[in-house]
Amino acid sequence: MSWFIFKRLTSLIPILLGISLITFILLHLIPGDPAVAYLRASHIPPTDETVAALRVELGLNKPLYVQYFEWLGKVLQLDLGMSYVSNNSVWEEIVVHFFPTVQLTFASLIFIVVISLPLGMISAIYKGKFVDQFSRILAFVSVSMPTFWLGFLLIYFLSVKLDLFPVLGRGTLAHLVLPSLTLAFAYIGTYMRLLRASMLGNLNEPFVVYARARGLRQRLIVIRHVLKKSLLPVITGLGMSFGNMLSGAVIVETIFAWPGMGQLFVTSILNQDYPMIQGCVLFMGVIFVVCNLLVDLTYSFLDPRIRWEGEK
Amino acid sequence: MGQDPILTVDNLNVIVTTPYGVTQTVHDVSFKLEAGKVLGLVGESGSGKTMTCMSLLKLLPEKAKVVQGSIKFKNIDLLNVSTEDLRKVRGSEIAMIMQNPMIAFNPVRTIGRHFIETLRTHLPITKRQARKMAVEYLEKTDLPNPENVLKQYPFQLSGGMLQRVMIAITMSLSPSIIIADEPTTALDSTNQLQVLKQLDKLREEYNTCILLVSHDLGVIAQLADEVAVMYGGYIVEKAPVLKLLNHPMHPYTKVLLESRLGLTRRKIKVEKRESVSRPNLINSEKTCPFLERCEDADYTCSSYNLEFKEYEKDHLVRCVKSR
Repeated sequence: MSWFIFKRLTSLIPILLGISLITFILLHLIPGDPAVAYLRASHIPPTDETVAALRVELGLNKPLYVQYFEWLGKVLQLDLGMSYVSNNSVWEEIVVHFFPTVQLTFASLIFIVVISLPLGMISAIYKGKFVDQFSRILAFVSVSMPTFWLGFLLIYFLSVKLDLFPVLGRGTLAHLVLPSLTLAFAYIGTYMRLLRASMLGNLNEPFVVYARARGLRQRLIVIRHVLKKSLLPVITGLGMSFGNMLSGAVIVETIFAWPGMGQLFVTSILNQDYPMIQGCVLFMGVIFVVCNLLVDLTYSFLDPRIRWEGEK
Repeated sequence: MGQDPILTVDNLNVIVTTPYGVTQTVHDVSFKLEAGKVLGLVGESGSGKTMTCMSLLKLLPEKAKVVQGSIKFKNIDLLNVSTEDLRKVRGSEIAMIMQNPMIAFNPVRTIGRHFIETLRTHLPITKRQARKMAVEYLEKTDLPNPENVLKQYPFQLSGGMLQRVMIAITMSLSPSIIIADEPTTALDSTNQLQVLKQLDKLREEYNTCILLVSHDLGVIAQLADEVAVMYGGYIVEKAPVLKLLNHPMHPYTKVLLESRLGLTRRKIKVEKRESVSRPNLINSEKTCPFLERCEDADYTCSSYNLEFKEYEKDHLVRCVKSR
């Protein structure tokens, strides 16, 4: 097991280097000179002299590879530069905005797991019955309903009409309910159907017949034998969605005025705040990779076959 | 002879609903199992052997259904018993050894978990006691290092080892009946012999009766006391093993035996009407299932009502030509 973890961790190094390289190059491919953008953001008219002076100051006149290594060296010390707009440290801005996103993500994850897994399981067991039909309709609604519309509907009915939850912003636990439910809703249908399909596949496996032939109770067969094996594809998907949500849900955060990563990212793009964009992209990339690593580790914990492959 | 049968299957009929129509896969199957005896069920793929076995414990797939007949175990009517009572019979009274050991175990659970959950379902014991019992029974099947086997996952063991684990699980609850559905098919010949020896030991030590299903007459000849030959869902011939091997009466049994003899003499006999496929079971009328492939068939066959004929007292044949 420890060997497996070690192998996975070492394989991260080239991936992370790749992310840093792409992030760095991306910015140099974007049309527009960073120096000009900086001057505009600081309300200084970009004349030839001021631009040239700033290029020297920002190190933009050096060869690209030198710029890259200098930048990488700073990144490793968590120095992502200063925002052109607010003149704050990019790293600190990210940290401040990351926490609300983490909060939102975990709350959504709880909604997803609590709603979709039991429903998926029940609709597999009662295939074709009322529960199954109901969950099918719910799944269609969930995957086809636009997020912004659902968000507004929830605000209108639950906040404005019934006054159950606050409309906007962040603060109490009640503030968290509507945004996380909105974010979770689109995923609920997917995971419900995924678990159902996976369980139906496993319910007809010979190992289930043998379990029944040994006289095991139905509940034990469904939970210990079928569910555990059927969760594997769901876990993979959830891990990827988790990474997605952590990099910021732009629409949901905008609707509910949630001060998270998505908002930070969109604002920095609108302001052409290059160091901030760079920092956000890099950060999201790393988060995504780490989430995938966590999925792999969970997977190997749940499925011994993968663990043993690694040890061979 | 003379003792009460432990299991009586009477006039069993099973149908399967397919997208192309309704098929009857088991026709009027009747047999009895007695303590310490082995009944061999032999026939080619699709002849209804597995369907017969599965219906004994109501483990038929969704599409299949018992439409007629009765299955009596001791004094329990297995077809009309409550689900909970049936569950208690499964494993502890009537145990099953599955066709392919490689896929009969859950790949994400260890052998130990499989063993212990089975024991604890039927016996009021703790995990520790169950583990001890498991080791004990694994030792009886000559598996090396039982403690370690319990910690392994199914894919870490060979087919032969898994089959012996399955036999150990079966033994541990000392059932009165063991249904062994092609227990040796997935194994190589050394392992086959070992598994057969295990089964024989089981029968001797616990006086268990075994329903041994196989398409391999060699396996049947080794172990069975009585043999039933199945073809197209019917038992076409039933006799004590020696009588059947020495005096086969049904044309299909003869073909089956010939093909085996042909193999041992190193010249493979090709069946003459190879173009004839397996019997088409869908919506077929009640005629002899072997009619199209039979060498001896003539006009008398088409009006035959498929009643058993008694060649000798314990030798039954379903063929109008036998006399």
